[in-house]
Amino acid sequence: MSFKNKYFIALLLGLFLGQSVWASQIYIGAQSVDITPELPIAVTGQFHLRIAKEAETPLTANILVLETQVDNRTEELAVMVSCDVLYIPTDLIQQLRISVKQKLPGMDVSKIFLNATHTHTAPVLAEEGEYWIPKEGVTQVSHYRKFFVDKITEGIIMAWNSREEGSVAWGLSYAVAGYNRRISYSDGTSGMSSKTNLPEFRNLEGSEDHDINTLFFWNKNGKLISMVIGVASPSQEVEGRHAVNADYWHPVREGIQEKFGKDVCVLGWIAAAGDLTPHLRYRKAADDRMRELRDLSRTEELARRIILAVEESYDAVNTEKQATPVFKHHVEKLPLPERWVTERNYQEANDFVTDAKNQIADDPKASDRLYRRMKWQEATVKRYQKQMDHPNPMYDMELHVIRLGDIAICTNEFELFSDFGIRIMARSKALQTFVVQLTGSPDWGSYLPTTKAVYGGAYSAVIHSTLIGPEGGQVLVDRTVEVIDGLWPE
Amino acid sequence: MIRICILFALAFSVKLPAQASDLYLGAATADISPELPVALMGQFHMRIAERADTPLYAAVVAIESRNGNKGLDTAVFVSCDLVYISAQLRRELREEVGRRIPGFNVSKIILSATHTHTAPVLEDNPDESSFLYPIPEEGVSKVKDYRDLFTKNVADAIEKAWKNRSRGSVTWGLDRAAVGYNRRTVYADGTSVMYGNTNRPDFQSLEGYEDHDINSLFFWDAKGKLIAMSIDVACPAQEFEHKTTVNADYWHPVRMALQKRFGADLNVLGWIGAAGDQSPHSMYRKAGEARMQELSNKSRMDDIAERIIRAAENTYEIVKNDKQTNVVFFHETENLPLPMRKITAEEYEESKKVTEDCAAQIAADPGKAPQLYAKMTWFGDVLKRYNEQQKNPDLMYETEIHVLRIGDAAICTNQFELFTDYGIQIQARSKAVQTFVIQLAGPGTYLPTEKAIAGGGYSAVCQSNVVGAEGGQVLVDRTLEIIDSFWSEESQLEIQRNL
Repeated sequence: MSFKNKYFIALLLGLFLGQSVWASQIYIGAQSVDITPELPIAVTGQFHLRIAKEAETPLTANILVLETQVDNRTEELAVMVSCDVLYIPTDLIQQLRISVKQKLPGMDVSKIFLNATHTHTAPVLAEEGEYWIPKEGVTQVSHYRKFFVDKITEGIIMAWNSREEGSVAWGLSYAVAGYNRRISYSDGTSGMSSKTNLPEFRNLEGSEDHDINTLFFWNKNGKLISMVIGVASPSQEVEGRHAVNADYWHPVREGIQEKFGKDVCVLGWIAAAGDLTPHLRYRKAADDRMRELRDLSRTEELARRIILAVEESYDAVNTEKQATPVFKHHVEKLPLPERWVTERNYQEANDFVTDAKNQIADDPKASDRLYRRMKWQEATVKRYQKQMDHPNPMYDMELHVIRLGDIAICTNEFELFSDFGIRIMARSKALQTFVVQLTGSPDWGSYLPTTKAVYGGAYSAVIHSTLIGPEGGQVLVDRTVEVIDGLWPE
Repeated sequence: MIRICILFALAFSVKLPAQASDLYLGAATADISPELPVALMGQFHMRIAERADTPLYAAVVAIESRNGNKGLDTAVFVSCDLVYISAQLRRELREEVGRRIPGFNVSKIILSATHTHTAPVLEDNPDESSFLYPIPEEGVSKVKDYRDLFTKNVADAIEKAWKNRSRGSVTWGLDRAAVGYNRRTVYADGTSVMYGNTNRPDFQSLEGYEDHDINSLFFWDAKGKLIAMSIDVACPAQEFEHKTTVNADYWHPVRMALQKRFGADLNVLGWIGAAGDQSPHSMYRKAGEARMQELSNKSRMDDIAERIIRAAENTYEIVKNDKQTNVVFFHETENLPLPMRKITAEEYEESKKVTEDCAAQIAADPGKAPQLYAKMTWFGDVLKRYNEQQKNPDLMYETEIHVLRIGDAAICTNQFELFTDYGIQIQARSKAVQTFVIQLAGPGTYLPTEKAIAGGGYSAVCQSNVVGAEGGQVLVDRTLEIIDSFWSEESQLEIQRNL
């Protein structure tokens, strides 16, 4: 049976079984906005302070509005904003919602979600606690936060106002853009981005997800106006630079726009990839040789692979446009058990914080290298203290689950280890499941590791990096799958 | 003074580009399709193929390194559309080649299998095999007859490739194709199951890594004509593993397409990288993949082939101008003793029970033999091993390995269905720019990792493994030791001597 026939039968079944899977015309609006900061500016993502004096590429936020209507009123809505930033503090998302609500009072702003591409060469967004940023001569965080909110509000309004009847299609291909960065050794320990050319190297700790999930959106004239590209690899190839850079998404967008039109709004989604990076952990010389023979930079090479995957998907699905896909958007606050801070964790963190404070007091310049690290561990101290009063701490995570035709989209706030994403995809009732990580985070470095990662240790699995542990990860997976399944009534 | 001279020589050699010797290359392909009907190897139940969907081939590349007229070293790669290479088959082929090419060092012949599960049975000797079928005496090709056909045709091809060798060039390249998927599913209780259902609440992860690299070698003759390519895919050719017809699996469409593009006489060697825990079968998001194939008007087989073809073609386009005519060439082969996996008393008792149960069922109803006979011999082999172990608790298993250096690339072989993590270890620790791991270059049994043994499941149980994780590490370490020696100062001096 062809897929067209299957769709038809599904539609008929929907008609017979009630309105729960009835579909309406989809309205689509898309807009890109420039969120490149005023320079110089502190960029975030490393322990040491970096001040960028140069923008190697622009930073953008790419906005997609999807709506169905009943009697000229919104029936269902999703506003999705992909941002060239490391992560998006949850308080900033609330500010954005307030800002949008002021301009568009009728909009249900809870249906807005933002995601970060995790570029490590974008401005600091956390109001406080990340770095000891000079008060003069550098764009202040509060200034950039306001700029960020204003620009994205403006972009959402433009996307909203430009929405019109359109159609959508989804596709799946593959590209090797993310590599597992956690190295397991014979003594059972793991290292993050550590050496593999050692006799005690045993394996990469987890999976790699080479799927490229894509969504394509056309306006009523059949013009491609936007696409979503889901890649399980954070955008951090040039993560160490002292510059502003959108990382691999910049050449991806340029390449896509060259092939599909300069107005195409490209949303970059990062799938569950807490244990993945674009950096190779072995056979680097062979990969470098091929890249050099192609005369490409590493970000260009990543972009080449992703663009090929997108083109392959597009060629297969561009005749499968859906104008009236089932569209449901569920939002909830999901309570997740916080990872338990042991007394030993507390003692070690407290000792470190005390020592760092003393070093900074002795030499204020030490703050450049110590402040971020100190704050990272100070959060553990505070968690322990909170735990004393509340022995079962829970964190309320904002969860979005969307059904769009045969596909599901689900979000999480973390750098979610890829195994969790694979669990969701494997158990989902959807034909294709898009997992979007880093859709607003409580803090810098919100990894969500697996049990084996916690056992192996190392940066992305230690207590300071992980508000939520494997137990909470499983709750997240189970509830997400439950909500997805609920969107596919029997 | 001598030390100073050596240091001087070393300093000189380090500055030299990797030029060492001329390579003389020849290639050919043998048709190894069986006479029908024939019994197929690869599943527990016996399958008799009445039909061949595709031919089966063995592709040959013969390499000789020379300094002027002086032959330095050789290698003959033979990639076969077979499930594995039995020791007897290898022995018989080498004897035949030795007869035909006097003086030829037949130990330099490397046979490897693509692991197609739709190729003939190779073994019928209970002393050499733990996996036997009750093949009818009449009306089906005899196993020995097939070995004879294979030996004759492949020896013809090796002879042809060897005689036609000419001063050629070679290069290597890397691309990616998602073909192999990890097939071992891990559950919350710590157990693993091969092809276990991932759509379960207790599904935790796939047990190991997936290696989506496609490593290729390209060989040109003296006239600059592309005569052969080898494509190394970390995925066994078993998409059609349940068919009851002869079929070369994905290598058939791959060969056809590459010959269409590069010439009908192109010889395509299909190598399988370390892929004991991989298969071409998706473990999740199957519906999404199936839809894409349907929209693209492709079968899964077409999709696999297209991915590999695209990777090979892309690689060729990038490296074709980087041909190497004078390259460093080394080839070492040795029989490496590996500690055998120990059989516990419980495993012995369980195997005994299954063996006796199968035997009783077959005795009661001989019609069950096609279903149960191979299972009986598979479990029965554990009893033999246990009894041997009682006499000698530290049994060793000798395995033939080959390690080569061709320019900046290293190639290493093993006889196993080697779990991917071992292949990654070799690649990660290798001094070569690019390292090709070829599995199933001999009688294939699974070689699992420690975590796989802990998780259990077919492919990691004692019946599946002659060698366990301890032996796997010995294999990795020794392979790397040889690779490293090819990049050692001593090897640099040898290169100098040969110049």
